[in-house]
Amino acid sequence: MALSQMGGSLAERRELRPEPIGPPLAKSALLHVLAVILLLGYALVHHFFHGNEWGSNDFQQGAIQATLVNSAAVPLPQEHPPTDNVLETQTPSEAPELPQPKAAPIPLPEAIPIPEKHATVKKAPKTSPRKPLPRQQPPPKLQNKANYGEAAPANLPKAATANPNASSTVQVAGGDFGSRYGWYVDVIKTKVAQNWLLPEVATSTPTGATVYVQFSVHRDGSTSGVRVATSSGYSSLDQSCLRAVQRVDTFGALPSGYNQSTLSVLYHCTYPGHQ
Amino acid sequence: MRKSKTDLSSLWRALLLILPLLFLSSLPVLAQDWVRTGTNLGAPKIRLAAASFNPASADPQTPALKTTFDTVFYNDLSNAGVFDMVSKSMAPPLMPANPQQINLAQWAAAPANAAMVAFGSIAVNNGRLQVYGWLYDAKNPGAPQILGKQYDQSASQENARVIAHQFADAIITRLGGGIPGIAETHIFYIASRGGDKEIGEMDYDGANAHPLTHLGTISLSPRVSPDNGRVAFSSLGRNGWAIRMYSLVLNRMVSFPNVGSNPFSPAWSSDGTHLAFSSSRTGDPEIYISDASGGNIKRITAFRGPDVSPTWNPKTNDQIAWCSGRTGLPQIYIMATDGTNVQRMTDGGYATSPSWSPNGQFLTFAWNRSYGPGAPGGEDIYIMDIASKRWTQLTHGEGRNDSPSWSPDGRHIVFQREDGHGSQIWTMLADGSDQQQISHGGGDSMPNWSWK
Repeated sequence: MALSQMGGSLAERRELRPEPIGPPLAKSALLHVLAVILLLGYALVHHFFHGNEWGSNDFQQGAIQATLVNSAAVPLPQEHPPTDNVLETQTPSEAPELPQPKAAPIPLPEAIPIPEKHATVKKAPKTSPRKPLPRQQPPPKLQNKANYGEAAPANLPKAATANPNASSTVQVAGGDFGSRYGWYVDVIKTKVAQNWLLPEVATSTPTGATVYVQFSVHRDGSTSGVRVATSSGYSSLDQSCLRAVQRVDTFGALPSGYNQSTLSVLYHCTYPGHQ
Repeated sequence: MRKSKTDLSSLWRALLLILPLLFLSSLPVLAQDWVRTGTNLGAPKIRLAAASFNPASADPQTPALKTTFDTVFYNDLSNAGVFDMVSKSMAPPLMPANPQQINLAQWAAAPANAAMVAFGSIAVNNGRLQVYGWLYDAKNPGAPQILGKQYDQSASQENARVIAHQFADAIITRLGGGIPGIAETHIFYIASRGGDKEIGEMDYDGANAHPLTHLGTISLSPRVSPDNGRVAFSSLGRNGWAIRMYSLVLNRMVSFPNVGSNPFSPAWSSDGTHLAFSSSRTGDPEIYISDASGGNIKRITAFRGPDVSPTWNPKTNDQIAWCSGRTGLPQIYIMATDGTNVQRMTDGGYATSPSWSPNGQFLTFAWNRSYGPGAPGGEDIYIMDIASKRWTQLTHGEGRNDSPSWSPDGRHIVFQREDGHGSQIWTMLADGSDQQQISHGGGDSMPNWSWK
């Protein structure tokens, strides 16, 4: 009795003795440290050996692109859904038959049907021969338009346009400057690029760092409101891109067909790397 | 304990496996071929095609005028320095007379690959030369027209050239970002004929070279005023050297007061209100500034040693670059117009003849960097970025080059070159490319590009 009691208390004591916490803790700490080292190492390796920046598209050209704020058209959903019957025929063809339903498995003779299951069995869909779908309503006929079954005229894509003047509330004309006066966009791109002096950028700037500079072009081609829209995080690059725009006295008069008083430009300078 | 050891070693093994993967993931980037062209040119030149203009009349004068027009027009665009011209042999053999006849796809396709097409018609009707010209964007067929121009002048070879210059300048202004073209500008220079040195004038491409003055003496350093109204130069008269003026409006000499002993190299400020020049009133040449009429003379340098060849910063008119021998050999310096804030720009050699670029950013000058006894080579043309004092050599030992002068668009430099065949006038782009000899006479020197 006493022995068994003693034995029981020994077992209990063994049970109650705290588990060794040191080695697992050390292992866990080691694992965490390794994970941190791995992350840091990856970041370091990526920092020094990166190059093919995400989103950079024209490396050879000095990686400069002009993007006009006005022409950055954001397509909006159309008001009316497009018509389905793009090509409508007078004699619609019959729809192909549905695949034959699979034969129900023959129950084993000794199988006992389960009543609950029967209660939830859905009715099989009708297998009557399919009729051709009823013809859809043709679009309403226009008085002055030949109607031969084609779709209604597609809605012109609408666009949300950036406002060149912060003060004016609505801009009526669409922001199609870039498509109508592509040559002027090229002029802006070229002139700023020519005035962007790469030696001004600190050589520690990583390749592909990009700064966005915003400014307005007036009717006489002069600029105003030059400011950094999105900083690259590297002040020498930001400053060099700003100066490039500020060095330009004029881009030449805005095209006479453009009836706004100013044009907003978002210009990005992407550092092509130390040369 | 032993178990944890095996855990550790397996961890290390995993780490050793992962690390090479880490490096491998960045290797493909390193293995890529990177091709970069240009320094900071950034954007390519515009590919422009100049179509042969359509002769739209049966007048017998038309073919000759059309040939002149086509040649001058093509050369003007080609000389502008902002276009990559489609060679005539690669352009479609078409002469579209108006926008209805042009097929832009043909011009945009290989081998022309034109981004822009200039075309039009030329006709002679009742002694009038009528030219219709268009500039179309070949890559934007939806809204192709950039320019449409109409010219009407009396029919002559000279007017065919003028119209070609004007239409080319309109195109260059439009596509070159608002900087007017130089096709209508002139170059003033010293023409050495039979012992005398007279002032001459020619078109920017060397055509129409003719003497302006007939003084029968030696004249040097012509400088045209910013309004193209007068040419100032120094000339040797009965009482020694003097600054003299030739009026381009009156086509004769006009009076200018005596501004001191041995005045040389007058230079106009870009607003036309002041002249800077050197004069040796005090013994050695110093820089002076006066009004455009020769009054209010102020001395702005006071150093031992010669100070000559002033040139204004045309952007601000509050700085002057000049050539000073205060340390021995002549060097280029800049200072404010009140004589303060003197900075030495060149670090040695023999540097002369500064000219300040229209945008205020650069100086161009003649420099012999290894000047001295037994040193080979001669003077070459350099440009220097004033803010950073970095310089670039533009000519490389082709004769002795001197007297560079900026074009008003800041894209060209005109200079004199002395080789085995005497002194000639050359032009080049401001990066040293496209060097062209534009004078073929005897001794033409000291060119000065007009302001417009």
